[in-house]
Amino acid sequence: MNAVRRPSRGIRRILTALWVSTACLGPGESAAEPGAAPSEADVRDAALAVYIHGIDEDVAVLEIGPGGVGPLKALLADPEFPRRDNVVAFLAHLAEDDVTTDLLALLQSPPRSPSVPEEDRALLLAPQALGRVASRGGPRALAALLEMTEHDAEGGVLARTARTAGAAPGLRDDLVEMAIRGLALSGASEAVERLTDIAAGRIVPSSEGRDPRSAAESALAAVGGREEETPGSSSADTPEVGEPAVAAAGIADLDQNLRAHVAPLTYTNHVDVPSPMSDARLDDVLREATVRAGRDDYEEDVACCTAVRREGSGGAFGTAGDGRDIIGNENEMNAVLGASSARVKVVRQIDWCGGAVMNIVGCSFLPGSSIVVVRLSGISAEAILWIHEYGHNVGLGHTGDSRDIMFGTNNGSNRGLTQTHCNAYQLPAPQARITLEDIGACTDDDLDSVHDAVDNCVNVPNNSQQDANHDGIGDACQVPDIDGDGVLNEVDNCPFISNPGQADLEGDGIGDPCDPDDDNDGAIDSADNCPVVSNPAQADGDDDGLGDACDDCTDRDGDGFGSPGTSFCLAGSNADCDDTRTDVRPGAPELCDGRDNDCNLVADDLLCEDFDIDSDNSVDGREVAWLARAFTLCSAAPVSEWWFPVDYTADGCVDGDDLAILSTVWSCVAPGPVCSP
Amino acid sequence: MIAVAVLGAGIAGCGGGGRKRVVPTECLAFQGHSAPAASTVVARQGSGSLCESVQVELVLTDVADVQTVDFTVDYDFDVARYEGLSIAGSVLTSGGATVNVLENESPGKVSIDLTRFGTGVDFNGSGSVVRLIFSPVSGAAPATSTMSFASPQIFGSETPPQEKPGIQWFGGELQLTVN
Repeated sequence: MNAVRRPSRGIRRILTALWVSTACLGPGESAAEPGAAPSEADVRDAALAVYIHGIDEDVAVLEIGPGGVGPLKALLADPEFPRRDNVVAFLAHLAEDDVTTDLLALLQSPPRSPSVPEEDRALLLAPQALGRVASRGGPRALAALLEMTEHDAEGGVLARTARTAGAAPGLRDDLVEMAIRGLALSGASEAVERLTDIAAGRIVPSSEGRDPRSAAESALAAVGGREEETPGSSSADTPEVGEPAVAAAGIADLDQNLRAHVAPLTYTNHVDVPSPMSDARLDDVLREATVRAGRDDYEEDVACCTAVRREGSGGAFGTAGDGRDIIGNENEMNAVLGASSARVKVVRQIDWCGGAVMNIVGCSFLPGSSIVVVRLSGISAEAILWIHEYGHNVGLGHTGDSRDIMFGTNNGSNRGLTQTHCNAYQLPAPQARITLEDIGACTDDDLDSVHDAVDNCVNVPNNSQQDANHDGIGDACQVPDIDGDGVLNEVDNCPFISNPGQADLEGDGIGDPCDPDDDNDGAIDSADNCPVVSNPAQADGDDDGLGDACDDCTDRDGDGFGSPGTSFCLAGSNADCDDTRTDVRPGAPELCDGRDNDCNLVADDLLCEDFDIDSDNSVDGREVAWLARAFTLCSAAPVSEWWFPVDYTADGCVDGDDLAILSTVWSCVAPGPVCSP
Repeated sequence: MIAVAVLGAGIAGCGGGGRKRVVPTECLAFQGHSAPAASTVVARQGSGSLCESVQVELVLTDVADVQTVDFTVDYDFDVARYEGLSIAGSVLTSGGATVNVLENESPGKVSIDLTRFGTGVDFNGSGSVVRLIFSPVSGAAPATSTMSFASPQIFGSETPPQEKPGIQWFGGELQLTVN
């Protein structure tokens, strides 16, 4: 299972925001210090995240804060930075009037490939950003917007932008409309005057192209408060609109979880989307989304027997120049969400979802049957976006776990569904109006924590679902015997590591070389002192690194005799009657110490006559002299040796053991015991 | 030497001050009774002796090939206290041999076994074997007492070792004086 990841800075900040909202900071946590300058790396990380429901002022302040404007400007000037749309949105909320220069520079040097959706959105957001800067009293920003919307100016700098960017037809008109929105956002009297003139047809910014009057009317309506933004509200975190939510299915309804289901998703692109979703791309996106939902990645995550797939080919909705590709208000959002052409509608930009927020990437009914998304270049980010929004359709709100698919921010690695989430995908709310297809039993034959219905290699464990050639067949199934051990992958209990004998100690279906815990005792083999015999406590009485459960000889005192005695003990199979002392063991010299040193069940059982080799009724210099003379001599037939009488241990050698005995009994008087009672 | 100097100062102090209490000081000496002769073991006072500890040195004369010297010392424990021993000379240690020492002490009696172990070179001739250290018994009255040997045995390095016959052991007297 994957370890709990430390949330990114961005995610931590969102969590902090939630905590602050309840005036309950966690231990060691603190709200971002106003004005504190984040590091360039932190700013970069924050700008790379996917803010599914947009970037409003709260998010901007909490994620980066005003101190990050400098690094943001640097990222804005970097054409290689992949999320300049986020950068523009952050600057809109954080920067002062001098950012006008940077935003105009972006417009004057647009990306060479406007089909990159993030770059497209960066351009579209720039005039709005000027409007937000102007709303905080930025005269240069306001002046730039007025210049863009002057009579017969053809958009001024925006015309140059469209010419340079080239590829997107109607881009100039789109940008002029964005400038009109920017004027509305500024709230300045000159801006209202300009909007009024445009709405009345007295000022026509572009003599050719789209009629801007309706856009100006909508903008004036916004200025008039009919579409009030509610900064700081929870709208961005609850973007879903429409039918009321229903509770997620309960555990009691889980009979259907015995089966796996797939949700067919229809989709369509707005005709003006410069980088429309394709069938092939969507198949990859939904395959990735399915794996993330269907794989058990961490403790709270479940391998949910659900899947999403493309239903039909993506058509198109809207008409060229209808403005529905860039959703800027409630009317436009309702119009797109209400389109019945498909469940998922792909647009260029979303700036309204329950409230006006910049750079939203997904908006959907909770629960419901419609979703609006923009394009994202990263397949992981797009996969999470799609299954996240579909999660809203089936009845799920946001969670607070940054690993979850239903977390409100997409960090590119979200991958978890709790059982409750899974239940909702398996039993969608009726408002989702989706008919799930039964795709078989909810099983996981190869025990790789990816359920079979979505597993790209059903009979070979491949939790990673690696599929290098994107053919839908996991790499693990591409080669019949990938580890070359003579056992085909589909029946190999360890397909990636040679295991020709298919050793599987505990019979859990995972071959021993692949099994990190062969004996299933909770101790990983590499750290298990007895890897093939279950010993959860890891007891190792003799501290020899071998657990008692698999130690052939537990010899705590290291004297060669074990307790219990076994034939594997170095000194023999006799049991050590005290395995804590080296001077107590079978055959040890008996001493006058109150112990049964030789393990014959009698303590201090020494008789002087047994050691009196010359029968002179004492053990004296003769015995010592003999022993000294024979010291270190050994024989295979000791009985015939002259020194045998002083081989008191009868082990065939005269050595220290014999000297120890003699030292104990020396000077004793026979007959009689050696040791004093 | 430091002990001597301190002791000397104490004595001078006693003589110079009538009000100071005089602490009695016991002194122990050893007097052997025989001069070294062939095939003998004679006890004599060692050169390192002091009043508060006398060294009784055992000297072998004309004894060849000694493996083990084993004996028991009887002495008057009202006069002297056995403190221990130190190996002396090279009778048992020639050639770097290791000497195993066994002792068994009871009041007025100490049994001692000194045995050469290891690959030493047999020593032939005369020399010191061991120094026994005695100290005077504190508070004892002046006395002279006999120190003698019992069950003395010397074994050679034959295989098996044989007891050397005809060796005479001579003890002496421990003399306790009080100053």
